[in-house]
Amino acid sequence: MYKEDRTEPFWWGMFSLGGVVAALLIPVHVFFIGLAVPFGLIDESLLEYSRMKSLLANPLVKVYLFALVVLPLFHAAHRIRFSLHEMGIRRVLLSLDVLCYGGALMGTAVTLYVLLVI
Amino acid sequence: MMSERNTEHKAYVRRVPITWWLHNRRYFLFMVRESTSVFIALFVLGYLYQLFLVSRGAEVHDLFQESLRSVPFVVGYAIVLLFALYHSITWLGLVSKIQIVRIGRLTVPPFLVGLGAYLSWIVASAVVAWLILNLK
Repeated sequence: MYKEDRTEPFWWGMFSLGGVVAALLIPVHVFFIGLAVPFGLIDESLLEYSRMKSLLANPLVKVYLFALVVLPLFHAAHRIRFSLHEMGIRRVLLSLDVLCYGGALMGTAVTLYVLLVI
Repeated sequence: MMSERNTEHKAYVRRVPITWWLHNRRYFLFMVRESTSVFIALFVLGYLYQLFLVSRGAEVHDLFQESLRSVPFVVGYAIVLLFALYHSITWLGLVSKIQIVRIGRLTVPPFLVGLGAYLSWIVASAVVAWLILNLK
């Protein structure tokens, strides 16, 4: 018998939010963090310790980084869960729900910790 | 008296090979689209590690920052960028198909909704770029 899963809307909502954040913000971050300095397109001092330290002193920057890191994790958890399911994989030691959404929740906790200690 | 029958049945699940998505171009592109999330997750986790290194002091942070300029990292970031762009293009392309925008009695044409989504991507990228370059 079909059993209603009341948590499903939450995971779909987080998937959508993460998808939007990833679509709008991730490419520009990948470019600046990973490629702009090696190709000499920006000054490397922009990513050095002293600047990062002063930027991270701003609570708004921390809130932004929290959303930037956490929401794509939920997006990925949802997509990986369904992709594995569609490939015929139903569980890997634990259920896919526990592995994928649990991973995203753990990532959220680690992100909170990192942003609080720096 | 008739005994109560068990009316529950197990759903039939057709067995398909794990490589089903390699047999058709559309299925393949669907799986590529799904896999973009893995690269994006790897990127944000790597970025989180970089942020964590700020708490370990200048020497550790800048050493890691320097290693990011090595060829394997640059190639890795280039691959991540390709997948991230594919996610953005496909995700924002879906907006005009799933989102009906009404202003009063007027329904905005899907073409304009899609255009708005892509324009918002450009604006968001420009704002982030400006902040990375100028925020103090």
